[in-house]
Amino acid sequence: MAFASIYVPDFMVQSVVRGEPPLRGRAVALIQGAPPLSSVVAANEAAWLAGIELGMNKSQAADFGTVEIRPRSPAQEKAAHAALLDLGWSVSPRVEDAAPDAIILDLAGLASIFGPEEKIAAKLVEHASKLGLSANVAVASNIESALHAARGFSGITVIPPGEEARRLGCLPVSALLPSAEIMEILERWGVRNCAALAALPVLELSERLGQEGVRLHELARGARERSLTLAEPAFFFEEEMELDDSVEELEPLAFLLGRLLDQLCARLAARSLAASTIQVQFDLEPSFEKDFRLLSADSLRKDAPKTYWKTLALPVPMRDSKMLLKLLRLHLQRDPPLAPILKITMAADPARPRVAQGGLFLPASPDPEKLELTVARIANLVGEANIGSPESMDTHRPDEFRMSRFATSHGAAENRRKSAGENGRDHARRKSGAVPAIAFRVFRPSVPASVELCEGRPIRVEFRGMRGDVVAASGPWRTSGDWWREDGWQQDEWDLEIRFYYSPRLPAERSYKNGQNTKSAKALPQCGLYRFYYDSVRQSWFVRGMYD
Amino acid sequence: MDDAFDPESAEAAGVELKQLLWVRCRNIDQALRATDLLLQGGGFGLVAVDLSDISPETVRYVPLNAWFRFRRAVEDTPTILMLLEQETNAKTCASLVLRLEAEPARWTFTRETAHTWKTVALENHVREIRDANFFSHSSACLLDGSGVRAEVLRSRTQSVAGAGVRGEFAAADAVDATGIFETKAMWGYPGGLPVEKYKPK
Repeated sequence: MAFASIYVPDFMVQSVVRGEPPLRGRAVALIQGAPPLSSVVAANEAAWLAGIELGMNKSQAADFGTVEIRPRSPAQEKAAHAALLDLGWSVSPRVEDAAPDAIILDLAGLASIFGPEEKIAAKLVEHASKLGLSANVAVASNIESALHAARGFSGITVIPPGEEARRLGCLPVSALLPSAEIMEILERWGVRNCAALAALPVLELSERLGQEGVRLHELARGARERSLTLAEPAFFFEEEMELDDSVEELEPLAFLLGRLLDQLCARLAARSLAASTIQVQFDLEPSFEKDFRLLSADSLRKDAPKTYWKTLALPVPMRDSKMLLKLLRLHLQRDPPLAPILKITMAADPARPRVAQGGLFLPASPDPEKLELTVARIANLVGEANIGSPESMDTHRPDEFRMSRFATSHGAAENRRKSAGENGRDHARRKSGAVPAIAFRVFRPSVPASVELCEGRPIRVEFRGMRGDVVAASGPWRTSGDWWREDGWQQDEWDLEIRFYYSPRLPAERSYKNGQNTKSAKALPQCGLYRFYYDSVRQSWFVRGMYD
Repeated sequence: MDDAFDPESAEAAGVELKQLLWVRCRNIDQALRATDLLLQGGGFGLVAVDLSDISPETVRYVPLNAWFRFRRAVEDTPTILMLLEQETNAKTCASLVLRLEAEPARWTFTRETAHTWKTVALENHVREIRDANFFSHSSACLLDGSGVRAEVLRSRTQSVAGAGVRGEFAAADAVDATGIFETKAMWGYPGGLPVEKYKPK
């Protein structure tokens, strides 16, 4: 049985650097607290070497020109820790959440999948790097040895069974995390490293240090056994970023969103998941001009910053961060936030990735991810409400429909299978050699018309500057509904075949009569099939459309 | 364009609305840009651009390179780009140009009404009905459908003379490559009533 421990040194600093990749390799110090009382709480190796010390205030730390000063971010630490757990679950189903900066994995049974322990450790380091973390990985036959080895040795450490005491011997006693009191005692005794502690007789040690001393003795020898405390797999993917200066423009905002998406997608990929929706929340800069009141108690009260929500519902689960960024940009262009942004929170709803199975007999359909991008671009052009699939409503009201989301190829294939099974109208009609239906072009809105009646029948009409005689009529066909509502309707419909004797469209300079050029308005008769209706509510005639 | 698409008649014609992406444009610029985006996105079997409600003068202002760009976008793809317009503008960019004209409508009415029907004159495919009795039976009359005459003006896919038609098309005239297909109104006929179809001669 083998266990691997992943430890992230300088975890607080790495959490911040994870959200700001250009800081990698540079000296970074973190400050915490409200100014002017803020002080340095963490720093990386390069910052220590430059002279940074814990407790320095911001101005003192800023004197070190080569050191980047950043505020500590609990939100980013939380996200980094979640990423660490995702890394563990990407390899093993049994993971212990040992500390904010360390996790432990059970490697039992993984050799047949990932290979020997050295290979697994290398894979963990590589994946950690993809998640923006630089980690130490140690493999040992018991949990505590692996944990302490990861904390004590940089890079990859593999301790063969039985070698724990020898390998851990060079570690300082402080790596075992003893209490301050015991640490002081051990220092007075001259016990500096684990080998020295392991050499002490355990019975005498227990008499002087009690059970804690026995525990430390076991840890120093690498002989302490315990069971793994399993962490519940979490399907919560959220990343946050607090900004020092508010962001107003879309370009810099897109840059930041891209970083968050990269982190989210890397975490999703580590768990073999994809995002079905992306929720973005912006904390906006409050408008102080509106809240400013002189000599008033209200001036001491700050309104909570306003927030902006945007949910990106994806047609299929995706984890392509570049595609997601393009979609998010298009949505933000259409509906931008109304104030500068101070904080960004991004969350993804996890789902299983799409498994696409092409069919030989299915019609060609666009790739769902490209289609979503195309639809988003067109929606920016014509408006979100003006693109989609028309869907008939369950009503007899004329021209009643709604625009619904266009189905992807997967959805379309499902719909096709359903429609083929439940309603074989298309197939049956083609088999019987049925004649295609006449097309109808709708006038939106309906065109007002003047209709001359004779004995209740239309004989002459005028609309859109055109006048004509009715040469054939079918109707009236009454249709009505929703009488119990304020927008109830009642219409008498007519199908009219009209011969126009005047139309602004007709070329007045041409004439087909006797080869003579005339500019008479009655130069060329033209026929058309139209649907008229008399609206009893508005008591007017309208043209609904024409048969084409 | 002009938002003239009717989902109801399309569905009756056999269009699967769930597989139809409808883009409702307000002007020709939106229509052309949306077409460009759809063609660049790819994957559609048919992209139909309805410019038939736009005046020919406006459509003529569309630069020719736009049509060339569309043609390049669909070349070597299974996508068909179809333009509906009042006159042909794509010129040599088009692989097939069809001219469609409406034939006189067909009406269905009861036998009694049919006896009062009279055709007085026939000129330029226009039928003039003078019998006032026809109007007294307008509620016993239904639009049955109409014919559409299709003429191949230009074709790169096959020779015009040998243009084949099948299915509901009448046999093409080998000389001028025209064909007529009939369309039918969406409603069915009332069961049990004596009906006769009238078709102009």
